[in-house]
Amino acid sequence: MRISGRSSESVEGIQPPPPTVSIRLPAALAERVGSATVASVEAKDVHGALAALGRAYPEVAQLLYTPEGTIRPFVNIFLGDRAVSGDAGATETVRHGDELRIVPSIAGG
Amino acid sequence: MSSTAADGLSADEVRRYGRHLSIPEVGLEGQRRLKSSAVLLVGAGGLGSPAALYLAAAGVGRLGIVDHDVVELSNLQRQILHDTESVGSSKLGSASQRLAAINPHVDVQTFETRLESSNALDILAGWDLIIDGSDNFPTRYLVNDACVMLGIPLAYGAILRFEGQASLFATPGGPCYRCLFREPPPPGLAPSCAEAGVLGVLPGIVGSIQATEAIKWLIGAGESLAGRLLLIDALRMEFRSLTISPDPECAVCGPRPSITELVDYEQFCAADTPGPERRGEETMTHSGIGVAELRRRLDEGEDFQLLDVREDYEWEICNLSAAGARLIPLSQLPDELDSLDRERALIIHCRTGPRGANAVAYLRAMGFDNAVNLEGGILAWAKAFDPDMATY
Repeated sequence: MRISGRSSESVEGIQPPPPTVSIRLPAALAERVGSATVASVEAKDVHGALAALGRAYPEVAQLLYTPEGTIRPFVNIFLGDRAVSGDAGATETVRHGDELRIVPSIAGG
Repeated sequence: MSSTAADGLSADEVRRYGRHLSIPEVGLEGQRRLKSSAVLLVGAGGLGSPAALYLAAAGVGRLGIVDHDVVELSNLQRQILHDTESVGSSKLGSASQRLAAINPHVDVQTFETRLESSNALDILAGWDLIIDGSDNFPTRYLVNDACVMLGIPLAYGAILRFEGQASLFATPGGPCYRCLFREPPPPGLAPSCAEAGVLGVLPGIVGSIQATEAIKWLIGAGESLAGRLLLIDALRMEFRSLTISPDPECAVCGPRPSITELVDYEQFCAADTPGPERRGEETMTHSGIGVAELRRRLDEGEDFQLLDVREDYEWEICNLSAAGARLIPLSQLPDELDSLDRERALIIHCRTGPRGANAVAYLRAMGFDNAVNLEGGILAWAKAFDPDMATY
């Protein structure tokens, strides 16, 4: 993008918007919280994306996180087709168009 | 051709498996491997039914089935091993008959028992592969741990509503179930198929995938689902393969396992976990009433609110409207609080209790100190006082 007529001081002050990523929820969870199965959020990393989802749907936050703020052990978060877990996973940066997927354990048989 | 072909297959078997023999990846060698293989299925239900049928049809030499249930009418929507005539009888009975009819060359061994820590290693030992067709978390963790300890691959499948999961766990160097799901969800956070429902044909898809993985593993063909989690969304007909890896800190299959013997899995799956679901458990223990108490309150004309937190379709099947019940589905409860009286006694019920417990925990947190859960839900009421009520 070419920006004309702006001083270098103004260009350095411009912050690009955070990337928009989609979060795919399992249908049962989406129905429970009244969400569509795909939500779009703006965030810089995995943690930020999930936090944004949690602000929009507090019950999702309650289901995803322990009171201590860690992802519950029966939930897996995938960035693309790769699992992101623990503190390292939470801080992993996301890019525009990335897809996060929440995969809880199910037991029906 | 002689009655017994040189490669250990009878003339009947050669004709029966002709379509397999034509496939390069199977052939006579693969079919012999299947005939000399033994697969144990845990559960003869939604997943176990198609898996058993296809494994028998494929000519797996020995099939074992573990189940202690009898056939119920509600099973027939998806458990295709069984039929209307077998309602009320042992699942293993109808399974054995059906499998023998499909392929008399298969040796079917049945284990009419509940799989527990005390018998799992004995029952699972000696099989080449295990199919997980169970329907609850304690059994899933039990089967996984036993497979890891015995070094037997586990074809995993799980279903709920329109969504399914499949993988192959406990292969050499591959992840196990615990690598993916370290702990089960607390009671109340993961509804069963009985509560949330399941599309009848979905286990047909997932169970067939489990059978496919079993066959491929046994004959050494293709790429297995080891190290992958296959997600099935039948509503959108989308399949997604996710990469999963062994957890270096896995309590069972990791290099420093903390679990080296089978544990009490019921206790493990009901372990103390902070959060609203824990409030739900405590509520069920200390803030519930039995159906006899509800009966008494109705008979004596006591004043109370009776709230059903199930879904609309469940209300259509059966309800306690005659007792004054009204319906507010659990997900809509936050929007309907103003319609409830905080000063009056409030009895909550669902189908069997878990959702009612969650509702009571939530309502109490919102100031409804009089909220109590009907233990056992509407099914307990039907069993005690209204046997003619349509149940599900």
